[in-house]
Amino acid sequence: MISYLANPQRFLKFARIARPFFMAGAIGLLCFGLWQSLFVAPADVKHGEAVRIMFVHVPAAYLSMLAYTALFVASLVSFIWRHNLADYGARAFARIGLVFTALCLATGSIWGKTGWGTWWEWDGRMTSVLVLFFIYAAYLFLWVVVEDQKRAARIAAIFAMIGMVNIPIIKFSVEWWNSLHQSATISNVGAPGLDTVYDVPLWSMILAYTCIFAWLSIQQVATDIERARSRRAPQTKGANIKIEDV
Amino acid sequence: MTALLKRDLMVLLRQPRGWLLALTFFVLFLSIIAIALQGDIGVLNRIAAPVIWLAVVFSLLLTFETLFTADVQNGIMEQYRLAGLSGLSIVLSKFIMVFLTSIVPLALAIPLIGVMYQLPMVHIAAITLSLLIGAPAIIALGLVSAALLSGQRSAGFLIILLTLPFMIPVIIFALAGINAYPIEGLDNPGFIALAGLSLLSFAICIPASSAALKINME
Repeated sequence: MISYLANPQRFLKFARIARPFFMAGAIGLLCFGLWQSLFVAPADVKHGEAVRIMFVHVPAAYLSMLAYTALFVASLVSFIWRHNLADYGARAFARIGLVFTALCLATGSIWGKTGWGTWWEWDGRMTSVLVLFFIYAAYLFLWVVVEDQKRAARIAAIFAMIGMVNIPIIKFSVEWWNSLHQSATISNVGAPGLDTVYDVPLWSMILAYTCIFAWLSIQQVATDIERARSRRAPQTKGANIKIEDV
Repeated sequence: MTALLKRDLMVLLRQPRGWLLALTFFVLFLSIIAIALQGDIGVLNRIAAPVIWLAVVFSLLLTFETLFTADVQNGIMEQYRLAGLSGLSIVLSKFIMVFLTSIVPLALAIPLIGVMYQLPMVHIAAITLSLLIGAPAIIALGLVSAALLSGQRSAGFLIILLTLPFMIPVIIFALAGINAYPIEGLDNPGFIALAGLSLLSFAICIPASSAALKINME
């Protein structure tokens, strides 16, 4: 599947079908999820109406880590096989990841204000997500500063692979530091789990975010392919000089 | 490898600008903070450890800009490669050189800062020990950024930007260790975690630096 898509021509063909598909999925699921989370889901006993922030916060947090994992895989592929598409993918994942990490921090901060009474607390999870944000930013700066794009790709790939160390720290920070932030309620085995009323909106939002991620990254990679192609194409028509002119 | 190290050290001794600059920056930065706080010894005592750590990190990172660029620009790196030296030995020699010429002077300067800040003896010892335990992590992380950007002409600012996110856990554990040192001694969880981070970053960053150098030579 991946080696099939590694051909830019085939990828463009795939993008033509997949992009509208994920776009429709994203918009549809987002509408459904927002309707569910804003109007259908009841207010929580402990959190009150503020529980609805969860439906934008948790998926953003999940996506910030998913994007980094994708960035890591793409960097690995790019480092080993030096494939252009992996570089385009890595850069696209980083851009999207940066935005969703910012979204995660912002919504978390708003939720923190209503839940714990502070906008910000320097505990393990928040600090490590903030570190993730800075790693994304530094990664993207590398692409900007290093002018030779081939070299930038190789350098950025090494940097992204080193940065992967942070992901398990984020994932387990809540258990390790026993912090203010509540631990994962859905994925932990034996955890009380969420009320089923919250399941539907949360999962549809998570799916919607995943679709947005797929849609935007396909779009970005396809754009990069087209841009590289237009750069390769001759800018002006070749001069048409005949012997008689000279 | 020893010849490499000898050459690196020789260059540094003949042109002491780099590490003298770092040392001066270190002392000046800490003095400025003391002056800005109007010499309030109570506050200075409380913030001494984090501020000294930040000063160490920044003064080291500022010197890292020139760590590889000079050698790349005047062609010495190319000669190393032609001579069949492995990237690992080049990076390792730089690592040892930075330790000897940057960490050791800074560690020796800490008691001086301790006098300026009127720190108790045990506090000075804790900060110096934390610096020595955490040094491999600081150097390795800075080294990899310097190696990644060794082909760049002006990389100074970006080296700091690349390194600092990874420095955060190092600083966290170093300070936890310093705080625990007077009661729990050397084998407290903070210092143990710091030592672990040092080993981990050494293991990851030395091969990564070598790979990065190779890329920048292509």
